[in-house]
Amino acid sequence: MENIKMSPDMWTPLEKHEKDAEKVSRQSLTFWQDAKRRLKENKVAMVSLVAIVIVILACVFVPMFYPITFEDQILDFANIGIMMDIYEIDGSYFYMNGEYYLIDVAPDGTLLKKHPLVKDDTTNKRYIYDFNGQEVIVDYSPYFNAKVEYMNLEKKAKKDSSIDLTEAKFNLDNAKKVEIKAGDEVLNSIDRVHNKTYILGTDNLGRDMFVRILHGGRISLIVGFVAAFVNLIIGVLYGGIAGYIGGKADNIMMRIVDVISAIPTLLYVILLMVVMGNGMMPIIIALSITYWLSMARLVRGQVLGLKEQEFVLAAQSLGASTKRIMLRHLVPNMMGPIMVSATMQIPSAIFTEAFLSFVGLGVSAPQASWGSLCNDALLTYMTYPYQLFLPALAISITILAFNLFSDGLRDALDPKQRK
Amino acid sequence: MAKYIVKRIISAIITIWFIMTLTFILMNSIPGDPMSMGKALQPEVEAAVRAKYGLDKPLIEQYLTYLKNYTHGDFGVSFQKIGLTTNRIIADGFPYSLKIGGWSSLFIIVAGIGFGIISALKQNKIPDRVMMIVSTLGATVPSFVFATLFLYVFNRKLGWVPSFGAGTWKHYIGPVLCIGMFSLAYVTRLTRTSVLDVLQQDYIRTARAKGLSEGVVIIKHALRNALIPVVTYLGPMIASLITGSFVVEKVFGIAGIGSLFTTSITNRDYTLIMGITVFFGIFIVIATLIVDVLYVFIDPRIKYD
Repeated sequence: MENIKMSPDMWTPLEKHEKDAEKVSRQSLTFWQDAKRRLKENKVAMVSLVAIVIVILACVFVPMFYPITFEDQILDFANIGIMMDIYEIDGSYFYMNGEYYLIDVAPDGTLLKKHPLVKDDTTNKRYIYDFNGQEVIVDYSPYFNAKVEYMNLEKKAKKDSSIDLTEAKFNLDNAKKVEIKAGDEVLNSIDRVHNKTYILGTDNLGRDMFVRILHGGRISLIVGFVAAFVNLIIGVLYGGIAGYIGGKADNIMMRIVDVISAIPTLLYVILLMVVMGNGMMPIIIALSITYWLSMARLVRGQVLGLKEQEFVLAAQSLGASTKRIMLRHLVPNMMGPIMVSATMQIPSAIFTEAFLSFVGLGVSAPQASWGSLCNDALLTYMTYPYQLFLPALAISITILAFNLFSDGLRDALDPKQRK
Repeated sequence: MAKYIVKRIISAIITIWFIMTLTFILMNSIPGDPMSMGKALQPEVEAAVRAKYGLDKPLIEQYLTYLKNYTHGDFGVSFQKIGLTTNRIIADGFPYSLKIGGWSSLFIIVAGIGFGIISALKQNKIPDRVMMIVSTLGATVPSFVFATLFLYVFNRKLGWVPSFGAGTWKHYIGPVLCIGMFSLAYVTRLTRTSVLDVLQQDYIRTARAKGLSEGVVIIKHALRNALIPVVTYLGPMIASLITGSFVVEKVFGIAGIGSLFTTSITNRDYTLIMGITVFFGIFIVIATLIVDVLYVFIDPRIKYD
């Protein structure tokens, strides 16, 4: 080894910036700050959070200020879609709805009124209208004849099983439905415009889909949040008490949970709904009293681990009451997993509500939820698919956003991932 | 192990009893009784009807008769349609549901495990990403949306499948896919995680170090252990198939037990609702029991006592 030569300049004081080199530059973060930072870095979770906030704000505020309410109905404007093919005759514009009635519209797509029918010619299968003296005939016989032909084939198919109806049905569905004639001339649509009056169209009673979807979103979100919140309260109390007291009480309480969890929960939600009748409150109650089991198990597990730790002993020796230890010391320490589990329950409650409404146990008209909107549209979705797919899209986006956000939250709160 | 199985069977019996009692209490707490639903009957007629259905007896006696009948396999009669019994509905509808459920299970297990393995082996590559997106969507899109979307595209737009009924094999494609979607997503994720977990174990490294081919390592060493957790999901899967059948049978117009159940809910036919609920309950409990018992044989690591 070489001898290190000492020289006086080795003993000069350090420059200021050299001193800082050894300093811990990273700010020390608490658990929550760290989790927040990690959550913010997760792009998918942040996009989902933004989506959730937008959905909530839209559902809460837009119906308040929107000129049309979810109950307003104009039967003449039933089943009008988002895009409309409009026709022109002598400077007046009209649109033909799914039942072949003509509706006066402005060229920009604002609905005016239903055009008065001059004659309903049922023998020749046509409607006769009058536009400023010009006769307009809506001839729906082509489809009618095709349908008669199909029904004959169907009768034959009942006797002869070799006839495949699928193709005939397909041809029927894609057959030309109707012709609009002015004199001898067949009118063709001049333009395809957006529906200005109802931006997302109307349902089968002429109610605005846009406002109904937002209103339905309110109900679905309320069900989701309230059910998750009540589950959280029951779960934390039940699991907390079982875990903290321990011993025999714990054993009995958890056996009860085991038995309840062995029964298929959804069947009991259905049964409770049958007993309590339709509506939002019954759904919330039914979901609240059946879905707390997993929360109770989770909390009990957490409490069992935490209650042996020194800070609980310290609190006990300082004479803190059980209630205080539970709420002040234990609950804040297990907030992470509880929050993840609660966020996961929101989409599952929304899902269950949609399912219940879909099997006819949901909120009743004129109230709407996403599930009941889908259910209402089910009978006619082949003709008016937007009525089904718009609320369905709303459910899917919301549930997807909640799922992705809770995934992100779980990753952020998982201490194993701390760097 | 025998002790564990016996214990499991006893707890299943207790659960079934609990289900039956709970159902009885709930159905008897509905305001009004079957007699007050229709038009008013003459007192003597009403008394006769009450006597016929045993409604004149005290509640506790009704409960005991109910337990006795159900344990003898008699699930009650409809209050709304004369002569219609729950047993009849089960006999009519269950074969369809069982067929759909069976094919769906097969589809979920084969496709779910297959997809899970592929995405685990190609972790973070394109196939994995695609499958994770598909399985996220599968768990997100409600089955009734998926079912109607399927019909809209493949029946209305393309004309490949029939829309209604359960005649040919083509009728079953839609229902099986739609019921399977949700569980498929779950099984895929479960398999993926479990395979990834197993691949990091020491014995896999040992197997590779011995010079075994990758195929043998995956199939003989990794999969056998990776699939054990997947088996646990089979119990809950049966429950999800049944709830799926409510929706899918309604959309596809199949007269299975699920759609008959939803019809009886719409009609408020309380005795039928009660009978079918208990039937579903018993079915799920027994199915879960079978899975739990099988698990004992599949996973030798766990000692049950």
